[in-house]
Amino acid sequence: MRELTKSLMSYTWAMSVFGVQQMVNLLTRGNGDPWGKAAHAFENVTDATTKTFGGAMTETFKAGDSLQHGMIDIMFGGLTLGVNPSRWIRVGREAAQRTGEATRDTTQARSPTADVSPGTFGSASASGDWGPMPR
Amino acid sequence: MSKLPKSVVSLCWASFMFGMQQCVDLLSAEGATKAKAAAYTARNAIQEQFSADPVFFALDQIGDEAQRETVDLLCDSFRLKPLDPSWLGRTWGRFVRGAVESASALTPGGNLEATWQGLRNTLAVIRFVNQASTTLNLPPGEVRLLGAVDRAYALGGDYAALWLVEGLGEEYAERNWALAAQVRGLLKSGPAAQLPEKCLLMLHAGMGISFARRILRPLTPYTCDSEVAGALRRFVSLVHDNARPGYDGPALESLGLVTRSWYPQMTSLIDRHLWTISREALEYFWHGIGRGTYFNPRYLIPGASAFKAIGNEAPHQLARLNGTAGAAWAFTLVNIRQPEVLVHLLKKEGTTLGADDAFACGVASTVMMSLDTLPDNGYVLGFCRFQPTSADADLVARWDRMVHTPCQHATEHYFPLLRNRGRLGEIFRYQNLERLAASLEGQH
Repeated sequence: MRELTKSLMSYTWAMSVFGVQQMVNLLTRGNGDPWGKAAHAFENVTDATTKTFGGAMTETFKAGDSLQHGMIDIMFGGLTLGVNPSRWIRVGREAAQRTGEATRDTTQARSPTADVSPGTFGSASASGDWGPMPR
Repeated sequence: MSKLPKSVVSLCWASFMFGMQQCVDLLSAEGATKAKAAAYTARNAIQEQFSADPVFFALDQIGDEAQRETVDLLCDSFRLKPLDPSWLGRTWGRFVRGAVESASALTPGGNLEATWQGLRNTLAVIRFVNQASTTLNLPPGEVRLLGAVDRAYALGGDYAALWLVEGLGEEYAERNWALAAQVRGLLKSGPAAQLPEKCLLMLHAGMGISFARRILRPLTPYTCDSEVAGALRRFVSLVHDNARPGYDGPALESLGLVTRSWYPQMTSLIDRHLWTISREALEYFWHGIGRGTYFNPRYLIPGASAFKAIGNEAPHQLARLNGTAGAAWAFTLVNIRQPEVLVHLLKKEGTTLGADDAFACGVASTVMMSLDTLPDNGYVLGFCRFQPTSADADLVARWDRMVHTPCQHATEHYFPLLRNRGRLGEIFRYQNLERLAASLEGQH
């Protein structure tokens, strides 16, 4: 219990220091592209964190992540799209579509019927990748 | 423009899901171990982001240590340990000793001067190491090793070149690792065959850092034994496959340096496995732990001593001797241009450090390594000739026994012998140098 507490607190502490580091880097504006570097650092940590997830948790993460990204696209779109309703509708539809796809993936990943049954070589998997090839 | 906010919200969401995953894991069998392993992996990924930023690295390390001690203290309090007089004496004793040592190190006069000078030297070296890649400014793609070595010597001058060459070795190994599935003969054949001898020790040390980080990154203290043993065997064989004969010592030593700096929780696990895999690698490993301990931010706090930490933490004699030699190696190299800092160390801790020859071995090894890597500089011989101007006869005698005489033997006898026999890599672990020299002469 003691070690578990230490491990989780250690993670929390490192995450806090990381946040401060990125904030300082962005505010001090070093050489190169500080925004790109910060985004890369955030992505690295996100990747490492999601690698510790189980299958269902990964899919849930992807679904939520897609939804959030869609919302950010809408938000940034709002700044640049002006008052063109058709473009608003298109951006909204794309975000909804991406979230729907991710949710479907999650459901299929958790459902036993989504497994590829023996003999169905070549059928696409839930994520749309190629299935195993017959020899 | 939207990339940064997206990556920020992704991380926030991932952190929330990470918490959920830990809750789910804790409900299952072996859940606590899984949760600890996951927290360890995620934490290390964050820590990697501090690699080029010593201030945040130090903040993370010191804060982490403080929170661990706080958790221990709270847990002990819940178990009513403060009611036990021996626990109370031990805990308070530690705090009071720490405070007194810090106060003593900061007392104006000789103590403060030596503390300040030592700290400045250490921070300068940390800066050299962290900026090695930026300073060398290697173009993307294949590293032209000969040109890069010349550049490192030209840019680094008569001192920083050491660290630039080490950084170059790490970068060279990293890039080759990315190019080929299996690296072989990195510093043995190809362009490396033409390299001047003076750069070989530190290039091998840098290559070892790259290998050690690659090997240790996927492991956790909760990884199964067979996987850890396999990874360590792979590290040892990688070093043997890529190091020149007689130069595998500095590369093997880097495993300890990387473990102490980045994966300290792996120390006991690696120690346990190396006993059965390779005793030679174990000795180098503990020497590297000593070197890493000296550079650990926790021991940069005035009053804290890396030597005392090694004495307290070393699980056996081999670890203590090699760890002390490694820390002495780092301490001497960092402060070689200001021998007064070393005199001050002997004044404070000379009695303990003089109990065996580990410290003297570390000092002699540094001198040999510097003579080999930086043959044109004068300060190494200046360091060897230095005599403290102190009225304290004990201190002068201690300096003579622990620094002056070992340096004299090293420059006049051991160094030419080891270099001629191609065994300079041996100086990266603790051993009786006189016996080693005698055995090499006997072989001849």
